[in-house]
Amino acid sequence: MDAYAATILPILKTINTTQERELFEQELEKLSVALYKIKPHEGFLDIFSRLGKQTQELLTQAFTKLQISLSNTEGIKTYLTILKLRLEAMPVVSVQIALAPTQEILLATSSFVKETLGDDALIAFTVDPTLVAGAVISYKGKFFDASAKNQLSNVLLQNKQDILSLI
Amino acid sequence: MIIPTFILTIFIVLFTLLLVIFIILGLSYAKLIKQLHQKEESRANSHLQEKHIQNLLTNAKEQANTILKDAGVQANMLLGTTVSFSKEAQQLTREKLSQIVTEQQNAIAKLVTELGQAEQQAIQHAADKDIQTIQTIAQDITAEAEKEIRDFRSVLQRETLSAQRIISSKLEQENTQLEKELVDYKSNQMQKIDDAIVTIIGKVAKQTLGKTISEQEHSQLIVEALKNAKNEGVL
Repeated sequence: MDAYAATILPILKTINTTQERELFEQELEKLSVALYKIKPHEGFLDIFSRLGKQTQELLTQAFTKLQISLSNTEGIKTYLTILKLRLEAMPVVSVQIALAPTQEILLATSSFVKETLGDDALIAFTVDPTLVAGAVISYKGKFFDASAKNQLSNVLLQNKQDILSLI
Repeated sequence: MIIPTFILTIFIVLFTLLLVIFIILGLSYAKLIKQLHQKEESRANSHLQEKHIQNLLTNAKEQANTILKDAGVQANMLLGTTVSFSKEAQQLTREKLSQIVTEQQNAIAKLVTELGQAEQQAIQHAADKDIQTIQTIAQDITAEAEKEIRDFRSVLQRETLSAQRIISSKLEQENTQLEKELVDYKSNQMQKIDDAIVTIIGKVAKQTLGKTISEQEHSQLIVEALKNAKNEGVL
């Protein structure tokens, strides 16, 4: 099992967001479906050849380390099953921001999250333009609002009486 | 001004009760009047009867006197025609006969007087009894009317108290509801003001800051937010 984990972790490390994980899971699903067809080996190779380059490399490295040949459909089934379970178990940090995440934001945020929570941590981005700037973070039931909107609101509430007296 | 339904219902119930009591009192009064009329008629009949009896007694007295006088006259005539009687004997017989007639007249007069007195007593007794009966009926009707009034007063008092309690309760409820609505309205309006101000300031901030914050600064602010979240123990 340790051998499996050692090969799975590099794969998880490349996945930064829930959106990326979803795409990766869809590719794995296609592979899994192919393995259950009449000619699993041919079908698997066909699908495998159409996967993204990075995915192909990661899976090839994993199969090599685990000495699973591409013709070993049962070995591949087992591996994919374990990989899917591990993907589902990835910790997810919800990050609400004011604009759609750019590559720079994605990398900076993901880097911080993985350093803090581990290489298998993910980010679920959502966009709320009214936040203006900053972010609203939630993780395992805890919540932290560090948006510019919240800060402005706090300032407003602190000076509420003064403002209302002007109305 | 709109009268609440429950107050209107209470008034209708009270009005109905009042109407029923008035009907009962009216019927009782009519009954009393009828009985009094009957007694008046009875009394009038008694007077007529009394007069009739008096007439009968008077006639009887007169007829008795007439018969006695006729008897005296016929006796004298018989005595006058009898030759064998001596004058002294005839005189004695006349005196005796006259005495008997007088005694009989006196006896009849006494009898008539006694009968009249007895009849008067009987009439008086009957009149007293009638008056007593009327008084009893009047007392019964009075007692019944008083009882009805007491019952009505009791029901009215009970219903009034009940109505007062209901009205008081409803007023309290409405008052509480109004206070709650007022507080809610105030809170709602304050929230609207807060939201409006936040929205305005948010828009202003976005228009001024949003355009001037670069992608790098956005990224830094997000990472800063993550760091703060970590420091707060969220991550």
